[in-house]
Amino acid sequence: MNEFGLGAIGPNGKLASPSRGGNATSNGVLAALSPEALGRLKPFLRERFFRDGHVLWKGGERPDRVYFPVSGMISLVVATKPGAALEVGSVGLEGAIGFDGGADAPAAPASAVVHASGTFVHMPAREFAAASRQSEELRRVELVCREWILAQAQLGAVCNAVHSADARFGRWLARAAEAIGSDVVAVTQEVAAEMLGLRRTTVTLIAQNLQAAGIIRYRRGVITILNHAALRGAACSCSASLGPSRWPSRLVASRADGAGADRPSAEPANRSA
Amino acid sequence: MPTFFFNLIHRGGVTLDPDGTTLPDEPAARLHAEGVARELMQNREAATRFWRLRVCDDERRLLFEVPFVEIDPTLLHLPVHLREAMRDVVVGAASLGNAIHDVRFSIRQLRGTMARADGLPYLVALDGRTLPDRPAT
Repeated sequence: MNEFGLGAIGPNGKLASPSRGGNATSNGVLAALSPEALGRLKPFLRERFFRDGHVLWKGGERPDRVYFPVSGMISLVVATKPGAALEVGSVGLEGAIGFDGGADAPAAPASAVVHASGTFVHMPAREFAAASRQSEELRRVELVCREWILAQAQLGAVCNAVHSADARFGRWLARAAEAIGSDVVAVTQEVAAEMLGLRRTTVTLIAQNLQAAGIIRYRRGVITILNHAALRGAACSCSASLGPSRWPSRLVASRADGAGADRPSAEPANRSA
Repeated sequence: MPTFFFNLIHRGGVTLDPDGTTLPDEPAARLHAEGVARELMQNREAATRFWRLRVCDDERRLLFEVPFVEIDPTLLHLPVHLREAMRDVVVGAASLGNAIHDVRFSIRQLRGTMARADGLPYLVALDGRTLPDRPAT
């Protein structure tokens, strides 16, 4: 654990923060880096708040910044028709996205849109690439983060084809809460409907059913999850397949613990209680 | 543009559409309802066979209904007489369901009246309908 995180990653994969009552105040990938690797990135890291709907980059464009979400979520979307786009993956505090694939790699087809407002740590992609040339740990971080996106796209393709609308909504909602580290998901039904390729009425009816069952509460643009276990029961099985065992933050942390032979002790000088 | 409300009748009861959707006219509302029904039934057609959408105007008056069984694309391969038989079963089940609901409602009204006469607590409303007549106090 380096000084970038305030505490250990708990069994639910979330960072515990005394000041925010359980919400993460850091990105899980950054918190799992060794002090040496983090030190290479620190001079370039900045934090910024983005509103819901902010477009980070469009499909076909090369992203120029790597984003490490802290309290918001980035949705990867592909346009289906003018003004509408389907979500093909998402990144929250468990991952990172925006790595520079190099000038000769074709840019990814998906756009990146913020779909839960929040803060994001970021740095120039070019600087990350330069740092990772010197660090095997950072190269592995990028690989693990990319594989997370790929796993989501693979499972998502099947999910969208064979699972029912209510199960897909349940999964999307549970995933959004996990990505932002909070049970209070500030996303409208319109946005959820667009991400899932459904009519808003369909999502409204599904959400009303969940509310009647006491699983969620919906008020003007904010969905609060009241019963996680029941929500997972209503969601499709993809939730389980894309669980913490695939999170980049977990994979980076476990590698750091396992490969500590030639690394100096990871006890930070200013560890908080 | 008028607002239409798309309420869902399913096995567990009724799910109300709280906000409605603005659409140009009733034919557009029917297309929208069919689209919503298809989305709700997709990949679980058998489980939603008895569901239907009840479309109301902004004064909550019923305009038309869309039974899921009527637009289920996975049934299109069946011969017409079988599809019609399925439709009849669903419509019949809906009528039966309504009749049972009405009988239960009447029984509750009776119970309410008797309880009031005995000075005991009674249910005043159920599913948005008031039960016994209000006493003239």
